[in-house]
Amino acid sequence: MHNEAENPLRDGLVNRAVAEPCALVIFGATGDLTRRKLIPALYNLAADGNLPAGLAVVCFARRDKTSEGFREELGEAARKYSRRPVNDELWNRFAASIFYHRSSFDDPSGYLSLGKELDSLDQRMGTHGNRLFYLASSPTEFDVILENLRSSGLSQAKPGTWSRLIVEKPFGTDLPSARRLNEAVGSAFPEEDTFRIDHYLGKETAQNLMVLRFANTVFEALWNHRYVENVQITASEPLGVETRAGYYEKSGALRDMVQNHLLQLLCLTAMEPPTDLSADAVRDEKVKVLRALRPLTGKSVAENVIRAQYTEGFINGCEVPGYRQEPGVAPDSVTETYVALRLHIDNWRWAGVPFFVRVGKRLPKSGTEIAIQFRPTPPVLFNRESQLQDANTLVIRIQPDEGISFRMAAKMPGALLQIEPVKMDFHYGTSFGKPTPEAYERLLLDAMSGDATLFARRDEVENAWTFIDGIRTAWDDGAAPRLDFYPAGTWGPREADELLAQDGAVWRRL
Amino acid sequence: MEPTVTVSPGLPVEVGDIDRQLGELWSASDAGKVRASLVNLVIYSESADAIAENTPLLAELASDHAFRALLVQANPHAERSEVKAWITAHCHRRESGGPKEICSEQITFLLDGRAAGRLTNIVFSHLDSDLPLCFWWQGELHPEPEPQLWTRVDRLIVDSHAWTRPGPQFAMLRDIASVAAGRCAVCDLNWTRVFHLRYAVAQIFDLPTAREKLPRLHNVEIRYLSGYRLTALEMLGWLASRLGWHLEEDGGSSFFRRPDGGKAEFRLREEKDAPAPVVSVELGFPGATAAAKRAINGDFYFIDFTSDAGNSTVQMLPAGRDKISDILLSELGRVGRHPLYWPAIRAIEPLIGQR
Repeated sequence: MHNEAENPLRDGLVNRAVAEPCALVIFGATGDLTRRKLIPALYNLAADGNLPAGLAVVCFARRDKTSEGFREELGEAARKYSRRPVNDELWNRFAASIFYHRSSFDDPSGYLSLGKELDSLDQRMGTHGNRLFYLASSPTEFDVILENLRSSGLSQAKPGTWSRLIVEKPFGTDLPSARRLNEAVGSAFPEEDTFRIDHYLGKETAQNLMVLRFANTVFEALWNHRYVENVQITASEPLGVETRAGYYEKSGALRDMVQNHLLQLLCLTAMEPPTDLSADAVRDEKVKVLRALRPLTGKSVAENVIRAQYTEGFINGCEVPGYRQEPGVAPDSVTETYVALRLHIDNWRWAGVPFFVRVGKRLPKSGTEIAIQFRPTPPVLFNRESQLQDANTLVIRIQPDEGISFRMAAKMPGALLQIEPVKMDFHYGTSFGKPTPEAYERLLLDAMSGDATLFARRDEVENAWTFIDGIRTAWDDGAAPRLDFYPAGTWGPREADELLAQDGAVWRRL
Repeated sequence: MEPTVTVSPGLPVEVGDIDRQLGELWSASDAGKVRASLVNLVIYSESADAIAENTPLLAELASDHAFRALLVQANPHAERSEVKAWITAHCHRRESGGPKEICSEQITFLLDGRAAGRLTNIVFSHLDSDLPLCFWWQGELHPEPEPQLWTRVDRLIVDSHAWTRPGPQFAMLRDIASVAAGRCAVCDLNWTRVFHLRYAVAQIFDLPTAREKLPRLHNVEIRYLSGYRLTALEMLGWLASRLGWHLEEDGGSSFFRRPDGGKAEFRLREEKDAPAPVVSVELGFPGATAAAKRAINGDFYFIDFTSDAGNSTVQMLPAGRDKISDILLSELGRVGRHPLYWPAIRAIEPLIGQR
């Protein structure tokens, strides 16, 4: 029979951990993230029947609003941003679990009254004393919120309940600030109750990467330096800096994308099989990859990293301004909007295999992908003239059009021996009719059920910053070449092409 | 998006020429169409309307789940032995699938007279290799197909709701399941029909306050639409098997004995007019009640746990859809077996023949 503590009726119904009753407290709830991502994600979870029976969403923010008024605002946002149409009856039922709690982040009395409200919700909404705190505010507010959660006792779970924290990126701006943030988090919440969101990890294809590698014999056998020529990880977008100039001027592409998203994808691509699928087993292997990354400092930054900024050009045939002409950007800005890196992972599996990583704004096409370029066949038989250098490429498309393709050589029909590349293509959208859930749906559900596998651990974040800081230091010290430039609508600067040419490689054309 | 619905099974073809004709069909189609398939879906029926009823159904399914379908209408009692075949494709544009239309193939067979005995060969000859084989046997099972067929089937789909003599049918289904135990998963659409209701009832007991009451559940009342008694019984069987109950009889009335020795009584109430096959499950405990009820004209279940102290927790959960195409899609979209199914059937087996 079943364990008394478990729900015996749950067995066999869903093949995953079940979200537990809880109160979700969103700090900075009047911001864009709540309206565009969190509330639509929660609504979709409700529509799929994935929210726990006892749930309350407490929106903690400074502005003067009422629960009723805020529910209406969020209803409009849900109708605008939800991936499925909003059912009024379901929305009204879900909205009844949303409460607005007005307080400034630095007012201790706001946290005391929050505590009372949460206790009351435990009785009224069945949230069972479980608390999930979500830091969706500006990062500059994190410290004061965490300090108040600690001093008010809210971060301390009562016996038989839990208290967890979700932190939105950026997790610092360099190693010292990440450490300070982690110390502040750690003083209020133990690491096992801390969930650092990198929404790339919630994407279906990123999750599928482990399945592809470890559920299929054929790929893992080839996944090493003996068969792989190079790996290319690309995140390109046609958008410019839009309304984020203030943030982007300080962060740049390296901090904004490489430190978190692209290094996470690199880790999933390069890691060893974990001993099991527990959060720590998976994250242990990812950390080992970060530790094995050959450090880039001083001169090696000049040799392996290209930074560039877009100038005026054309996107989809329309003229667009250069980065320095964008509103809010300094006319002499040296912020990079493009980075290309050649990385090496100094371990047995990947010895000698370059990992080329690039990210850029105002590139011709939107796409995030991982491409495994396999070594060519020996230069005999069909490859006598070395014309099959890139015959086999496995591409994992993260977004858009999530899927996997494999390129191989095939003989063209006819009497001539003519070999052409052909592509086997798997599209999630074509094969599976059901829509892919948004990353935030999966991540919120995992946090409510206590599964931290898709969240970044403290040592992952700090190791990633250690690596990134080496590059930034070289840039700041002038040890690396100055900024390069590329016209908007092109695939980046010439120097990035030359970086690959040194290894006899070329960037993939998306 | 609305699928292109057609009742015509398509282009008549010679049985020995189907592969070539399909090839021509695709080479003649424009570049905006992509053939896709996740599964071989065989539908077998001895109903005279099988082709007319199932072709629109397949067109509807194709918009959500790409397949190669073999639709077989058999008339074993026809005097003349004959095989006829048609091919067609169901194409849809998906929001998530890019600009191209995604197409699923349908091959239709009419097997008359002795030709009905060639079912196994007809199926084996026209499968898309390496893809799973789902075989939906519509109506009453019978023992004719060669056992080898079942050992090659990945999912055998039936709908016990449609059975006129469920007792012998369950026995036959169990025999097939034991013959092909290594490979074939048995899927009863009647079991899938109450999936969302089972999910809704289970959800109530994620609440710690409700969960602690569960071992002392003493009263179950299930309301069902006329004609769906077996569906309601499967729901009851699930509860009983999950809670370790055993059916007993006392003076002509049946009840369940709980593991702690207590009694759990049950009542199945038929309703002439109801919004779903199983409308509600109401549960009684000492000091509390719980219920999962289908909203009238609604796509949701309301679940509710109320203690005598007046505390109540209410939630809305998706009820799924009751159309057979939606139930089948739900089954096709699921992987793995149904380990709870046979224990549930065993728990209510003595009640199956009763009215």
